[in-house]
Amino acid sequence: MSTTSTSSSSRVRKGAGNSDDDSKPGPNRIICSLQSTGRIGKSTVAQALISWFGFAGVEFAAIDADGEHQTLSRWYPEIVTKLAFRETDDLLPILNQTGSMPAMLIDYPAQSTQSLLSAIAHFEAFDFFESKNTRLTSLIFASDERPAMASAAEIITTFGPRSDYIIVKNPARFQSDIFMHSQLPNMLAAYSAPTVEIGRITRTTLDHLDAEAAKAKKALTFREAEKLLPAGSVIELQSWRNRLFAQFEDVCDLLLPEEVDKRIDRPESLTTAKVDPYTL
Amino acid sequence: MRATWSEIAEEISRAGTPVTRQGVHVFFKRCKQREKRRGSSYALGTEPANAGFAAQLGTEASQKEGSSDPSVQPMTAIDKMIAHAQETTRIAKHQPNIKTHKPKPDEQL
Repeated sequence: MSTTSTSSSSRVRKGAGNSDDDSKPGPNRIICSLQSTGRIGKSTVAQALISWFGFAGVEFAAIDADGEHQTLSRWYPEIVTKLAFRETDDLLPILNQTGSMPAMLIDYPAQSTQSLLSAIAHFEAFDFFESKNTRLTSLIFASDERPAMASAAEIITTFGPRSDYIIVKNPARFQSDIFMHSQLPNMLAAYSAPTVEIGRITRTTLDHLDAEAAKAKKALTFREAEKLLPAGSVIELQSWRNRLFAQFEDVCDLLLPEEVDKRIDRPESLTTAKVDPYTL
Repeated sequence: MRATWSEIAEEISRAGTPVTRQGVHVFFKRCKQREKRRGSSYALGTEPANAGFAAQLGTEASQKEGSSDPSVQPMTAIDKMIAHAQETTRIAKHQPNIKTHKPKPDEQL
């Protein structure tokens, strides 16, 4: 199955901080989620973003700030910088290199919202970001867990228009509509936050992936695992990735300073036809 | 002759900062931190309490070079000790450079 190719069709958004002049690049981006809960898909989205940056040929930095799990750096030991966030000082290296690359992706640990907000306030980071032509893109996961929702509200209220936001839905993890029926979507609508949805991956494919990782005695990215998995699982992972890539392209203005040249082909997906049996 | 840590401690104490033999390295570490805060480069002998000390000690160390007495520590050993102390303190915490990655054409990550 062909996974990716170059295409010219795209939807163009203009994110906050982006110039109205199309010829001028927008700000560099720091992309992260500061929400206080684990197992919501933060590292998985980070993996997908790294994969997309690789596909699109975009220079980036990726930081694994989760010193306990180190998920991202186990997947990409050669690419990801391990920089555990424990206290205010740990924001300094990030500030030191702000603005030196189009995208900086940070995978923060759970339960660190308060200390991160304090560190950002301590360094007056938003003023600094602005001086370095950089904007923060906060990923807000549509989690139905109370701590995740509370910390999302805290982040949006604290940052306001100084950050851009992307809502990340993960229906495999959260099946209720509690988030969408809360005040959070309205808060995010005020900042025109688009939505990205992580596709579902079947249990069988995930089990295959875990088994191969155990055999290899290392964490495998989806790309690495594809060389080892049965054909059906390979197709599923490729499709999963392509759907995410297409969504990243749609919100490109919030992830990168410029649109990417290399785009994926977007196959028409099958939609289930609705049939009224009484009309047959 | 200040050839041992006890003698160094005595010398520093006489100059106005009471330190014990065990406290000499902490004293030097503080000297270094003060220098860092002031933004000037570090040099022994710039502190009021140990003014002139570096030059004298350096001379003595060169005289004692090759000594079999383990208590005799040349100047460079003190500098190494200070560097080590710095590495193990929060102030000099190692902050790694963040790697950037420029993907190769068609790189599959």
